Amino acid sequence: MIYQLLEKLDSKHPFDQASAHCDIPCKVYDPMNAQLAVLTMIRMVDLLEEIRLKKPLSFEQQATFMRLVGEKENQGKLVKDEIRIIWGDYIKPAQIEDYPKIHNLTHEIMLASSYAKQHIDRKLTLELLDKVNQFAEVFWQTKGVPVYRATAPYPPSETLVYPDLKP
Amino acid sequence: MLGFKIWKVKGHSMAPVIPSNCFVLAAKWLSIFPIREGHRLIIKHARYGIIVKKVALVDKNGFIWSKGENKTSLRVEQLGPVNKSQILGRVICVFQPESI
Repeated sequence: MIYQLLEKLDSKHPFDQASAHCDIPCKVYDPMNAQLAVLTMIRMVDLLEEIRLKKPLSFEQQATFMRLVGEKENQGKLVKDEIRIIWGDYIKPAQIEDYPKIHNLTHEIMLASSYAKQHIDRKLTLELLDKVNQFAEVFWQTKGVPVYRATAPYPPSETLVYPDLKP
Repeated sequence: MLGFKIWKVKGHSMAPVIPSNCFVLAAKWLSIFPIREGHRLIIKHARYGIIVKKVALVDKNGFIWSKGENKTSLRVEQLGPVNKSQILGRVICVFQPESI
């Protein structure tokens, strides 16, 4: 009866929530978030290159410049976070045994992401994409899911590794 | 109110003692007393936000290490140590539907 009362109160004036963190619902891992974050970084670099050609920058263009740089930075952090979570929480000793290069690859992604954040350089972001795609390949292999490469149908139109989930 | 607060719990790591969607009554002032193994606490965690966990141990430096009630929970070492100032309350009572 007290529970029902609290439930009614909660529906009108929600109580603060405390999470009972659990690995069951958190088993949702997918490198796609990291892949999309790299694509966004590449797109930001492309847009920044367009701004580079405009001199001098108007007030609005300066604001756009700041936004693009800020977003590139955020997406670089996101790449690191997403890859670290999969590496730290999903990858287990059995998978490390099967894919011993995973540690090095993860570390290379951390460095490549930093380089891509530090510079406005498309080549560096493409190198990052290549490494994140390799990571995605390993990830899906650990699940026994075949992968294929295709060009994402939106700017910056770069190649991504996709899982082939068709039965 | 009067040092007591009701929290809604989301997640399964504290089941069956505190199933998901239950409410718990917690008292912050109880943390003036020594925290002991087995106490269930509301913790303001740097990485996971506000969580409810059971005390696994209190180390010699006074740091509190916590865990869930079942094997699905994040492990003690994943949760890491917290200090007493991060305790938002000690769970006194759990309210759950009668059917659970």
